[in-house]
Parts: sequence; C-alpha cells; structure tokens
Amino acid sequence: MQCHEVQTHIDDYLDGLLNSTEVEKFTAHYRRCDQCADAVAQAQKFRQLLKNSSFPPPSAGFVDRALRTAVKQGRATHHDTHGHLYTLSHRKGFIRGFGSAVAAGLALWVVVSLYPAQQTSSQQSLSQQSLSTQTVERVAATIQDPMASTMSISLYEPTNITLAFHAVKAVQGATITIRLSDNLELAGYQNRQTLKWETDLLAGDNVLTLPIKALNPQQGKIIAQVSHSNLMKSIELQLNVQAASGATKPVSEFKLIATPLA
Amino acid sequence: MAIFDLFKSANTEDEFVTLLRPYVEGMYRLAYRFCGSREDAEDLVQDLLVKLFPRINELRSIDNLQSWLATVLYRQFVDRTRHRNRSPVQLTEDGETFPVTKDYMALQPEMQILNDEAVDQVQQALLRLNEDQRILVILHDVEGYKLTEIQDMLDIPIGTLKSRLYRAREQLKKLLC
Repeated sequence: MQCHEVQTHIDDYLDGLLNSTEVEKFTAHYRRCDQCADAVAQAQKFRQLLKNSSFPPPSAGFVDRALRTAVKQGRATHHDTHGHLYTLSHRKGFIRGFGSAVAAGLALWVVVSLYPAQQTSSQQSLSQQSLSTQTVERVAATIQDPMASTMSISLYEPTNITLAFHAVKAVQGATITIRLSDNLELAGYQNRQTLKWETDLLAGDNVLTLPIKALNPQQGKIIAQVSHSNLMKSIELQLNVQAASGATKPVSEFKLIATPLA
Repeated sequence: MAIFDLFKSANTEDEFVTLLRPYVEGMYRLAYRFCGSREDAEDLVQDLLVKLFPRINELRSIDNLQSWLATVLYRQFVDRTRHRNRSPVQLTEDGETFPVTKDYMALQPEMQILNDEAVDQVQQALLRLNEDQRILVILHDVEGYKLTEIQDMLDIPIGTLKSRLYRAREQLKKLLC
C-alpha cells in the first residue's frame, strides 16, 4: 500500500470498514511511514476531540419530569381518542341521586366488593350488575359504616377485590395509592405490596379491580387512598384469611363502604 | 374486561418509565447536539416521549432500543425543523415576533454563545455545519454509531454517507482552526 492509498483509507480504517487483508497492508505501511502514522494519529485525535465535546446537562429533574409528563399526556390522548378514560371503568349513575346529597364540592366515595378471581368475564359482569342494582338501596345504610370493613378470603386463592372510587364531579390528577399488608400480594406480581399512580376520575364511579392473594393465614389489610390537591381520603379494608380447606367462597358477598372526601 | 384497565394501565406506566428511563439522558444529549440549546433539546425529547407512550407494546419488542430511539429522535427533529422553516414568523418569549430567515440554524451559534455557559468550541463548530453534515458527524463521530446503523437510520446509501462525512470533517477542521 502506498502513502496516497493509506491517506485515502484512514477513515475506513478507523471506521473498521477494511477487511483483514487491507488492515494488514494498511498497518504495515503506516508503522514504517512517519508521515502516514502522523496522519492516522491526527485523525484519531480529531475524533477523540469530537467525542469529548461537552454539553450542558439537562435542567434539574428533567428525566423524571419528562417521563411523568409523557405518561400523563399519554393518558389524556387515550381519553381524547376514545371519548372516555381508558384507564378506568366508568359506571355513571351507579350511585344515582346520591351525589346530590353531598355538597357541590369535591367528594369521593369508595365502594368495595369482592369475588373470586377465577370467575369468568360474564360472571364478573353479572356480579357487577348485581352490585350496581342493589347499591342505591344499600348506600343509605352504608354511609354510616365505619371507615374500616372486614371481609374474608381464602389462603392462596386469588380473589378479585373491586374498589369503586365515586367522584361527584370529574377530578383531574387524583393520586390513587393502594397498600397491602405483608401477607398479601397482587396475584401475578410477586412481592408487590404498593401501587401508586396519578389518574383522572370521571364523575360517577371509577372502578378498579385488584387480584389479591393471601400468603399466610394472618389477618390482612388493604389501604386505598385517594388524594387530590390538599384533599385526601383513605379507606382500610381488613381481610380475614381462611385456610383454603375451610374457606367459604365469598361469591355473593359484598360490602359497601362509602367515605366522603372533604 | 374494562374494570381491569386501571391496574393494567398502572403497570403499563411503570413499565414505560422503567423501559425508557435509562435512555432519556442519552436522548437529551443527542437532541442537544442536534438543536444546540438546552431548552429546544428538552422540548424535543419531551415531545417524543409523549408520542412514544401509546407505543409501549412496540417498544417492548425492539432489540436495539438505543439505536431505534436515536432514529425516531432524528425524525422528530427533522419534522420540527421543517415545521419551523415553514412558519413565516415565530413568537418570542415576550410575545414579540421576528421573521424567520431561510438560514435559521445559521443564527444559532451566536445565540448559543450568549445563552449557554457550558458549550464548547466543538459544539459551536458543529452548529455551523449544514444540517445534513451536522447530523452525520454527530451520529458517527460524536455518538459513535456505525455507518451501517446510520445507513438504516437516515435511509442513505453508505457510499453517500462516507463522502458526506469526509466533507463534513474537512469543513469542521477548518472551523476549528
């Protein structure tokens, strides 16, 4: 290889585009030619200079902020596209007439039902329907219920627990937090005891179903919290965990807990 | 079943954040090289992340996510530049307007010297290259993408890339002298 050929192929050499034979010829030449060796060294130095060029870091907290905004706006996109909140099931009028009983300001209500996770979709629909039609009559009684309620689930048997967050009017940017005691987990998500996210709530019911599995026969606890601006309300659900052999499946059992957020 | 969507959505959001967090700073760095200002770079990355969130299923299946993100970031930058160049006027922060010249990017170096305290000479020189040359040098010499990768990213034959890169480097050397 001659000097002019080496000079022509410096970029190809540094870019790794020469085959092994060409590399041998290239290196054999420039190792004995000071001028070509200098040209290769200059090209390497120039590339290093480009690689090392500085840039100002992003503004403080940019990464978190950008990801958070993307998630938030992504949800809004779903809302616009489908005309309803994709993230939440919505049963408008579920607690029909009840909203008028509270002040015009923000109020959220948490309704809890429970059924085994292995029910089919149609069975779930029936269960929800049943819950819905009975609710109007039940609400007046349940409003006075204590903040905490108790249910029973079977050990190791995934059980769907449905929380309905009722908003008297639409709420933007509510934060929902679900915390489980150590002996409970979300089925299919090992060791996941906390779930927290920001979401918009539509006026009416916004339904969330959690597949809960009990890992040992101690009493378990689910805490659901909804917060918005400086308003916050949480509800505590006690779960009696029964050994699988003696457990009574809570197919038709449900309880309602209505908790004003104000 | 719609009632399960909220839970799935929460997991999708977590997954999106977990999947993309390791790349966001790199995306910003590349965007900064393209745009030449921190503000524009952050806007570019932000806009892209918003567009990517609904595509989480696609993101999961991409083998070389870093290279893929560089490609979509480049396209987003080109779209934005074209949009800017089509607009006859632009609003400044105080609401006044100024005409956008055809060579809008040529104004950037002077603007950046005033605005960015940490910009070095190389970045200034890069901003003086024409857009095609700048993109190529940034992707290849600064960020270290291989020509074969850039061929796919920019959809330009490798021979064209090599000659364009050679001219860009020569121009850059002159600017840095």
